[in-house]
Amino acid sequence: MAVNTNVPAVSNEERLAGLKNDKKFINRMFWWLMFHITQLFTMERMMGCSMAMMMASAREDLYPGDPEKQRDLVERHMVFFNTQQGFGSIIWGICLGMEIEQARTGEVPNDIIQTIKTALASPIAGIGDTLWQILFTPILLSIGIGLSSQGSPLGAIVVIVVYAAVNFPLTYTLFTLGIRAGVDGAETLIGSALKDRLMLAVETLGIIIVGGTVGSMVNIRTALEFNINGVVVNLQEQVFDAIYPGVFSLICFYLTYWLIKEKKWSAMKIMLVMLAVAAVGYFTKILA
Amino acid sequence: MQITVLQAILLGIASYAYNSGILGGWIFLNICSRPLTIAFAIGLIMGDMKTAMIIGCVIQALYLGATSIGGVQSMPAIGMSMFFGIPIAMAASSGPEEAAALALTICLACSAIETPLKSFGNIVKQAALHHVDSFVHRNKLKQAIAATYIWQQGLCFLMYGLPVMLLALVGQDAIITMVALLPPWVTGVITTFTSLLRTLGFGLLLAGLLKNKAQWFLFLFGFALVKGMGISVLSLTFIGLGIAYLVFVLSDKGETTKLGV
Repeated sequence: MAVNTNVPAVSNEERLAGLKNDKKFINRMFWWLMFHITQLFTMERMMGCSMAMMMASAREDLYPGDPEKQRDLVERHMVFFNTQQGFGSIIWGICLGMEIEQARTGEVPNDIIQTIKTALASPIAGIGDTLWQILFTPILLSIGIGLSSQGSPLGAIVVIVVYAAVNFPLTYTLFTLGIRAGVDGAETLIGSALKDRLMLAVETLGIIIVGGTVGSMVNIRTALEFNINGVVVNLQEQVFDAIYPGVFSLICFYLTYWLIKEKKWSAMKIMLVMLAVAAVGYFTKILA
Repeated sequence: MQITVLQAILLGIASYAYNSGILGGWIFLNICSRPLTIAFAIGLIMGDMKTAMIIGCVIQALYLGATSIGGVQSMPAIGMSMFFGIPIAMAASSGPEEAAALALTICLACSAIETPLKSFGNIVKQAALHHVDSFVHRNKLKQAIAATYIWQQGLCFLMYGLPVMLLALVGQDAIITMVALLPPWVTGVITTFTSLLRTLGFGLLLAGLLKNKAQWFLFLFGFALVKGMGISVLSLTFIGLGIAYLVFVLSDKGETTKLGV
């Protein structure tokens, strides 16, 4: 987008200083970033491409009419970069903020920008992967499964709407915080006690929901029957269900959990063993 | 039920759109690649929402604990396979339970094609990235952005869109014939296998959540409310949110531990 540089009242420096509070500019950069993030993720540079492309999208705002500096700006960011996209949006914001400062004052050397970018990537990814990939998304999906397991589309709709309703403001707020507050903003995020308390609360919710979803989704039964002194005892109905509904499913679930947690088996290995158990279980009627 | 040409084309387009990041970018990317949301799209296209969602839930349960951290996936890739595996299973089976078992089998079997296809795609992307670099070095930034999108979207269409269209059309007859020939015990074993698999997804998820053994009480609390008392998962969510809120408030600055002592 071309920026009118012929307005005499505002100097380039003042214009650059105003960029950090320019809502239109921030919105435009945010939406470009949201799409750039998903493009050309490779093992060599991971999300590096999106950082370079965001700078390319900001080229006319930072260095209007100066192709050499625009190229240098993009070239600086064509390096490896990887974090978690949502929480990491603060890093894209910080880098953009620092590049604005560099364009304005020329006092932010590339070394500093790269060091800060690399230093923040891992801790932010740690928070993001835990809160987002291990807690929020699976818990939301568990609720979705609970709503849709009988065939209703409601679960999918709820999952999509709630996901977007949380992800959008979160990513946008952190991106804006990054541009405006810079590294201080990131330190607040990494060091805050609020984060630990939030994680504990979400963990609690998650465990309860998983318990409930296992109750509604896992239904493993045995068809074994015993003949004791002429009386036929159905193991599922007269023993397991009599103790507590679903107790056999619970035992099977615990066995799987034990293999994952205590035995550290991989998912593939467990699946292969389960296939064998299913075959044996089917023919011996241990599993029905 | 047969998959029509129009449905196959729509499935291909949906597979491309869901996997390429073009639907709302990052805002939707991560949730689009989930079995539950994919099943929703398939239900719309195939006109049988109920069966699609039941299958979606079974596959989602297995993939609940699946994570992708630093580009490393913990479960076999089925992001593309679902787009033809689920519709074909719907076409080939008589009931939702059987369809779910069949869909899961097709998807897991096809991950053997999908994983190398993904690796190949990554190599092409690597080359594409250097093509983009060359535009930047020549100071053609506008073209660099355009090249990024053309490579990514073109590749996604070739990797996710086209194969789904072709496999949905070509594969269905072969699989329907095969399913008709299967002896009943094979279906029986697969159905039993599917019911066991459900424990895996939840197990992986719980393994990430549980920090100490006392937290098993929380798990049993949720289990008992749903299984023993018949409370819906949605109601349980509200109860859980209430408890989570209490935990959040009471964990303030460790005051509670001091009070507890």
